[in-house]
Amino acid sequence: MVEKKTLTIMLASAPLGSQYADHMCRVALRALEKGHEVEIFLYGDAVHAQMNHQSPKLFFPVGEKLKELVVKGAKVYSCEICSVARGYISGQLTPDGKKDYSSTKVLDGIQFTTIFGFVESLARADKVLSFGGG
Amino acid sequence: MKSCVLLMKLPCTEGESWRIGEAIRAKGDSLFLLGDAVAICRKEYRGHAASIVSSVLSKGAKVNASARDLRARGIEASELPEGVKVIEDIEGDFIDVTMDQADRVIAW
Repeated sequence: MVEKKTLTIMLASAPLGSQYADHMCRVALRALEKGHEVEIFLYGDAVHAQMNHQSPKLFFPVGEKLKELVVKGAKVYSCEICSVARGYISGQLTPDGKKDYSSTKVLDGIQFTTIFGFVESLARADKVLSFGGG
Repeated sequence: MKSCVLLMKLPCTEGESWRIGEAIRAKGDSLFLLGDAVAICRKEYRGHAASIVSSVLSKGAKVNASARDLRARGIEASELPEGVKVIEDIEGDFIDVTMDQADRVIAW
């Protein structure tokens, strides 16, 4: 029985353009299967991994794997500003004072936050990994 | 202090990533190779930072390469130097080292 720890992961590269998203999904999945908590933060072009209805017939199915990660207990956070910039959400304030994160373009289970939310995730983490970017 | 390094691209395509070899200093440290990075453990690899694997092995540290990614690139086990461990469930081994053994983890 392993001691349950928290792994925080930043993905900073888009799916399909490189294998960083593929590697991240596989590593995160094994961490969950070994009993650890996993928190993932999609940043920059990596927010494209949250796109609904991806159909990469010949490539690693990042969207399907993200859905599987959510179902298995991973918390998947997406950068709000990066997502607004790429047209996934409006992020506008609603009449009740909350931000509008509704979208038909985004996989179920994705949560939106800012870079400050990522800092909070870092504070909860026992270990941190980053994939891509640069 | 135990170090664990995960390398996913070839040093010749990732600028300064050849420096990751410097993070591996002692027996007990680990280098994991995923994706294109598996090519640096070929004996015949002559690209940038070709000495990373031999340098890491000479320190007594472990070099682990993804069996899946070696197959995808047509690299046979016979092309690898002695000491390189070829692993099917490399993500599982990487998680064990990362979460329970390593004090410092670098993913590049």
